[in-house]
Amino acid sequence: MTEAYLYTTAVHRLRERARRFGAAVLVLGLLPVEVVAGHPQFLWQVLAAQPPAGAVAALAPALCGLALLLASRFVRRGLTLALTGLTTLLSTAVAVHFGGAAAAWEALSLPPSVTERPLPAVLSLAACSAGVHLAFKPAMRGASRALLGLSLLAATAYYLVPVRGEAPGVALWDMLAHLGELPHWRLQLGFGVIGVMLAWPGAIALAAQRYHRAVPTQEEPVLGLAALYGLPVMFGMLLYRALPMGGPGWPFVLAGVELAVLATLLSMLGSTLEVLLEGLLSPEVGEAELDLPPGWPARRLFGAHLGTLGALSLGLALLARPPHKGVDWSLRPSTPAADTLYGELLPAWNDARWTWDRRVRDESGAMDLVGVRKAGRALVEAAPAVDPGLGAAVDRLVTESRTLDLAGRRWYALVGAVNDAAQAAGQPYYLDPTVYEYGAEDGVRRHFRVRSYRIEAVTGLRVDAGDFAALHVRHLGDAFARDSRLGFSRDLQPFALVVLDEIEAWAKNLSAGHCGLQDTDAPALTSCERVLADLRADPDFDLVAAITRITERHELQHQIDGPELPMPTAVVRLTGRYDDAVRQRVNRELSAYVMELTTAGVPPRLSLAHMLPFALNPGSAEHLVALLVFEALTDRTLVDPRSGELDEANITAAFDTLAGVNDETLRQRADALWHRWY
Amino acid sequence: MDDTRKANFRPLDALPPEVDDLPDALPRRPIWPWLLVLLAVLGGGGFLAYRVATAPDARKVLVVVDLDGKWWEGSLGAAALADSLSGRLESMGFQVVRGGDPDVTEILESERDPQRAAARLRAAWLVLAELNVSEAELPIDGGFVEMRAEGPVRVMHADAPPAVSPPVSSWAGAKKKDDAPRRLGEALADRVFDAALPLLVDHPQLRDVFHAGVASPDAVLADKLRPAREYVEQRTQTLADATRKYAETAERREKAERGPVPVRFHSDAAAADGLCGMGPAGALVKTEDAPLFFLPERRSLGRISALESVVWMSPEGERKTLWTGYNLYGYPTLGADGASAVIVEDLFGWAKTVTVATADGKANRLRVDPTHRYSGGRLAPGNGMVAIQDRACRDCPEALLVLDATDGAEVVTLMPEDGAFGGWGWLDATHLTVLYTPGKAQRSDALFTAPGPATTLYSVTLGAGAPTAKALVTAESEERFSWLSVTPDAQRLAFEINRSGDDQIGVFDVAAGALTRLSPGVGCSAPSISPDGTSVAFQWIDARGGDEEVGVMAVGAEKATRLTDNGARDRYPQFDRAGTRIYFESLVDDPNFKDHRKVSRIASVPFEPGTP
Repeated sequence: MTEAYLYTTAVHRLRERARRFGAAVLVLGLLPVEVVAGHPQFLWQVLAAQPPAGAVAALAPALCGLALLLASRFVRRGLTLALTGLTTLLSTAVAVHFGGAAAAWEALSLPPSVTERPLPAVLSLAACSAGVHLAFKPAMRGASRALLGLSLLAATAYYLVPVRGEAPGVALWDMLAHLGELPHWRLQLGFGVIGVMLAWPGAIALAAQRYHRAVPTQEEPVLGLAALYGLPVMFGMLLYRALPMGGPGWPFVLAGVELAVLATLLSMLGSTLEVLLEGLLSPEVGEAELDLPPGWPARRLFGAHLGTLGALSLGLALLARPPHKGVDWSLRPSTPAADTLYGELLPAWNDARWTWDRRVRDESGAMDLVGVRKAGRALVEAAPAVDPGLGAAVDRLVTESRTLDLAGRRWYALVGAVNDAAQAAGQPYYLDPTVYEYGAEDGVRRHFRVRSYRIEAVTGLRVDAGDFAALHVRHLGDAFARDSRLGFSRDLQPFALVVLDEIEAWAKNLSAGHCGLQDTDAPALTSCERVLADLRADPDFDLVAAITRITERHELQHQIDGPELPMPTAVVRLTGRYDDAVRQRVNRELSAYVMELTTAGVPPRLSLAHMLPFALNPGSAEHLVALLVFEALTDRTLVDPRSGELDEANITAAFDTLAGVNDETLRQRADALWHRWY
Repeated sequence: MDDTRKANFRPLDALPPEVDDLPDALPRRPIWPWLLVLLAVLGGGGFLAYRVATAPDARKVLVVVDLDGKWWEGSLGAAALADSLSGRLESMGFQVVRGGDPDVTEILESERDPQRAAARLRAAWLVLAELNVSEAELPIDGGFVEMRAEGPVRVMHADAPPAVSPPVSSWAGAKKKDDAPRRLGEALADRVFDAALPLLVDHPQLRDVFHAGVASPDAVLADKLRPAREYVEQRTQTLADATRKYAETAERREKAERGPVPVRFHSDAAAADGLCGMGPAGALVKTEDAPLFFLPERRSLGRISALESVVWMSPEGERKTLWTGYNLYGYPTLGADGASAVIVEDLFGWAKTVTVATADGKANRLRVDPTHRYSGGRLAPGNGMVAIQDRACRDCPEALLVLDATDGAEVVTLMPEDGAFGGWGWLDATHLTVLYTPGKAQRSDALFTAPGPATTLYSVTLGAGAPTAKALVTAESEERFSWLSVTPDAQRLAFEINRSGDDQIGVFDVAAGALTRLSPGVGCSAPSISPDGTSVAFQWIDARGGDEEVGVMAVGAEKATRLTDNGARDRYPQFDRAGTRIYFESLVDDPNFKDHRKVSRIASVPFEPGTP
């Protein structure tokens, strides 16, 4: 009787907690998902920029909250409620996982607020709380021990599995080890608090192990409450502490609501595990639910929920498939009409739209709009003469980009349709879209550009990961619109780009002896020029062809890597103080530059000469990449770990050392390095 | 135990009632009244919110300009005007519906009625201008488009009747077809702004706002629109002050007249009129109508340039336009018929033209040239030919060009050849009288062959063959003839005789071939002979201060009569066709633009034929 009563109480508690969690998550869904330059970005503003799987992921938390609210109102049986809660949480996690992965391939990813949650820590604390509660009930002590074991396992996983390239356990160890070195006791106190918070899941899990043997004296032991509410309380203290500094803005409100979500999630998950196991294993369940109509048997219930979860996961996995890579583009000769379309009319329309877009947000832009329409008309009239399909795609591009707040993804889709039409018609042209996003007084602004290229050649590459392709292109249009990169690659596109005229311009600079170094870097300049002179001395060496090959290899590596490239510890250590976008960029460029060194038939010294100016000039992601490559290949330390100062002499010495190594040996070293890291 | 108490007892062995059979401790209240109240509150709140969200914004202005179409229809001129006007109105505190905004464009494209569009855009004010546009392709090498626009500006608020301004107008030109409408729009922006802003500020709706007190709910609006109010107040005061100064200047001029005859003024107090000639319809006047304008950027007084006109002005001051254009080069001249005029027009600095404007209002361009400079055209009797000075370049000699007045074909070009032409006029349809002063070098042709270096009056015969010239009278040595005036019947000619220290006027009788010299005894210039040839009006140059007045002298008289005596410059006197009034220009400094402009009014004095 007592256990039935306790079970009923546990179910009521679960219902209440599910209701609170559902409400908290719904409120969170109405708040901004990120704040850009002080301007809140709400869910509905981000949705349009997402692929279908990304949109599902963005909506998943709110749907989860709604489902739990409905379940807490209408589901009467405890086991069903617990299973519903668990299935909903797992479905949300699956949706966020697949959606985040899908969005990463697109031009605009999901905000970290949607994709990043420390799940093992949450599971550990919830399991600990559930285990501690169940330890009070004699019939559930076995289940209690299992949950406490799960709690410890989850905590261990939390500390050992790297997140963003670093395991939290390692970070905790580093923090505690260097705590004494901090200059002021206030800093030590602050970092100490953070250390306690990091250590909390493990500490609680360890402390709860006593209930393997001991029996709690009350149904809700203090340790159970500490597991659920300890971390949110500590976060709350930090948030309160930060209020005078940051003021009550959106970040504060968001942090507060997220804290509430964390607290309610922990409590709900704990109750879910408790009721789930008790509903399955407790003999008193039947008595507790005597007044309810008979429900499904447990097996069927589990099957239904698992089936739902499975179907959802399968559907999302299919939706979130990465884009197909590689392209088969048969090129016809270019024509004057097409050259005019891509080289004059499209840039003119692009420039007119850009001017209008920038002006009309702040002042009257009627003249600019007339200019855009006129340029658009010229474009739409000329395009069908090149190809009817291309004409239709250009018409859609001009018509649908008449709004100011075009979603970024829509822009990429419209330009992509033009490229698809060109490919279908065999037209050797490519349009590259770009979206510029920044915060302004009235909110986040997006401006849109395209650059025109003529395709000279299409090359393919087959690796284990599949087929990949590179387009060799030349700029069309005026010089001001040019991108100075030798090549570039976008995850959402099935090919990389190698820009021949930029390569030729750079080759010309190198031939003239300009390594991209200042006169103040005289020793490095001398070394670089010596290497280039050696390369030029070889009569079979074609500088332009060599640069083209290494650029192609570099950009193809980006295509192969994709957005989910694991981050080696070396990168984590060097980029620790930078934001996530910088760290990701360094990581991806590192992989590409290292593999560039392995390009067959091209001396790696050429790539090293390309990297030397980066190594000597701080202020870019390429600088960090160059340092990592030089350090790893020569085992030298090029940056003082204490002061952070660059050791320029050592960098030049490292370059000289590498330049003296045999080409094939250097390629092998680079290949081994890549495999060690990735 | 009574029955009541019995009824309330339950037997002891009876089972307790089921839970569901127990009466409720509290009666159940129905929920629907609360839902109704909630619905009513939400509905009321929603309605209020809707009203607030859709109510017109008292500061918001929608500018709708039709300048050969509206901007959302692709009119560049309307777009340029809308952009410029928006910026100005925004600086005055108004919020202008942003042109070029795609959401705004969508509404404007879907709503034909501007007032409905304004309502949808929550604009309380509508500034409407429907301007009539005319376009002309000018005959300039490479093409040139001139556009003109004119029309009133209307300001509307909700359902109130519109406030309408006088018509605003402007013009612009450009080599490229797209540039002309844009320039026209930009040129019109200041004018439309100048017309619209006072209508906005003086509108009863805003007048009440400005007069409301600090505590009134309109105080915030009044504060935000304070720049507009201050601007209009400053504008009104500045223009009123300027107008007052003109009136005072005119009054001073009239009171300062000490001449023997009353002077009558025919132009208004701020005019810039030039007297071109006298015909049966009255005075032919060129006018540069540049109305006073309050410059928005500098907040100071200026003049807004307008097209130049050639008009007939009756004695009562009524004006009838003969021609309008961008710029006149020099003074137009009247033909022998007194109704047609030769006009040299400057086409936006790209070319000069020789144009003959006839009484029926038609203008025939005889010549269009990007480099030649033309001046002093004279139309022959019968309007068959035009004689005009022609300088091919800045440093080139001034030739005398004779054109066919129907098709502009060259009849003859008389080169000065080291000499100079001092004046010319027509004796008849084929005889051109010319004042020619030879140079040191001998002419290469057999035309102006009179011996000596002095000026000679010639009659040049123009016909099918080569022209021939007959000397009529030659100046004495050290004399020079210039400024030729011809009577309507071409029987008598008058000209200046410039002599050192003793200026004279020469009157030549064509039939008799006799020259009569008039010695006014003062400096004299610009002679104009009366229609009957018996008197000559001239510029009397006061020896004391070099001041120019109007004088008249009968042919054969001993002395001249001074007709005006004042501090102004009175110049270019001309007899009317009846010979009973002498018209002239009277110049004073412009009281508002002292260093840059003169006020030039057409005036006249009575004349009795036969007076000495």
